[in-house]
Amino acid sequence: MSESIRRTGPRVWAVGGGKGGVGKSVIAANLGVALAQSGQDVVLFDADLGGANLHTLLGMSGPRLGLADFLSKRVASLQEVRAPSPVVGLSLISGARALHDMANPKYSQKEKILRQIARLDADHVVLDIGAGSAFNTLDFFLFADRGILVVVPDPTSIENAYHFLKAAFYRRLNRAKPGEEIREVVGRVMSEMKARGIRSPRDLIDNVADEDTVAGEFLAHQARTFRPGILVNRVSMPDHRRLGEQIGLACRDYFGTEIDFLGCVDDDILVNRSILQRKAHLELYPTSPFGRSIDTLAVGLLERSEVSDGE
Amino acid sequence: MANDQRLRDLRLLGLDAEADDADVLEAYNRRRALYDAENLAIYNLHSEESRQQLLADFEAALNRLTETPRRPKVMPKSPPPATLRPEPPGGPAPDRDSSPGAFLRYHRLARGISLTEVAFETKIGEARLEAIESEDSADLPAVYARGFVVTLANLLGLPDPAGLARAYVERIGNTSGEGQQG
Repeated sequence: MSESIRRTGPRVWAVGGGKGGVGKSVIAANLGVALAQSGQDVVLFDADLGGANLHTLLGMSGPRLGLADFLSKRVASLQEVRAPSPVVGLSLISGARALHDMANPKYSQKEKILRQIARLDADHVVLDIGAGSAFNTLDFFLFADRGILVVVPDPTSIENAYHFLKAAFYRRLNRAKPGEEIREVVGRVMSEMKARGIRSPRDLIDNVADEDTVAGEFLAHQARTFRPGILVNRVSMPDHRRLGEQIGLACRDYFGTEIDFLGCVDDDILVNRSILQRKAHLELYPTSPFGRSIDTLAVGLLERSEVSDGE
Repeated sequence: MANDQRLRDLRLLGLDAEADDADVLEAYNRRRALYDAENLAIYNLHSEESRQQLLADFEAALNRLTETPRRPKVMPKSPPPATLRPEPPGGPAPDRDSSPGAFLRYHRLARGISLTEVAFETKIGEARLEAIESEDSADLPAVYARGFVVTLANLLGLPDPAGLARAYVERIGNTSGEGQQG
């Protein structure tokens, strides 16, 4: 995917989590709202075709056109299925009414979607990539300028998050298409994994670098540029606040890469209420704990993206 | 070689070459807490075996890094010998306590290091190294045996060199000779 398209296109954020039910869709939707409320032009993209929810969270009963129409070639471009939402500056590309067999688009269809996302006329695109670690889900996550992994303080969520990160990391390595020589070195080192005491991607990279500088640098570059962020949702105890930072440290040790702790989102009973009312939480309760957390997240993301633009 | 080990240990703890003892201790303590069995933050990231090995590795790194005075680097008088990389070992590692010599040999071979290279680095004669690995060194006074095994373990980056040395002396039955080091 060409770098030059990205610099003039929208900033893309992917919100995932591995596990279902951790609050990805609510966070994605309200992140979109927060960015729109700050004056940006935002597209919310529901890539969770098997379980599309964004239209409901925004109180849109089911837009006339959506991703399904693009996939079934009823329309030629994503721009045509972009529906205005009740929030000024925020439009939605909905996954509603996707037929059963569309939940797993083919590789070529997915690549087409990604190319078109990069060409959308907007400041930001927020992708809700859904649960699980299927290849399409991973590819949406890896495509983004910044992937955001949502976890809750619960072992099943943490476990799924690590599973997701491992899958994403290896998917990335494979998609980077290392040459034959590099593959040979990596293959050889991996066949000696036990003897070398390799227990993590970082160990693998160190061992490969010992064998061959070029191969090592290839892997190290992939690791360095793999920078998802971790967001801890439903924080209700002081202990939970440390979780994100600790996960970041564990990931740094394991992957050899800087995984960012993006912050915490407070547990808030008002979230349920806004969902039941089918209106964006940030429109109903902007000063609630959840509302303030999301605003802080949005500001932090904007600041980080300014910094990395300058690199 | 000693400097390489130091850099490896620092890197394991997420530190760079400028780190001082306080940094090392802080990094170690953070990891000790992080990799605690009960910690939700690492749930199922590592297998139990891996997690324990990691803790052992951190402890070994800490011990090596906070050892008192580092000897100044001595420039070798001649370049190290070129040797053929030995065959890697097959099968699982031998048990440390019942076959300490074989354990050393296994890990040396796993790292692709020849006896000639070890002799060059440690200044221990190749014949003596061979005897240590074959556990045919009962004639060696215990204090030397312990010292050599610790040196070899450090060279190979193995955890708990002191424990390995103890196991070695117990297994081989080296007599203590002067009996002072205990």
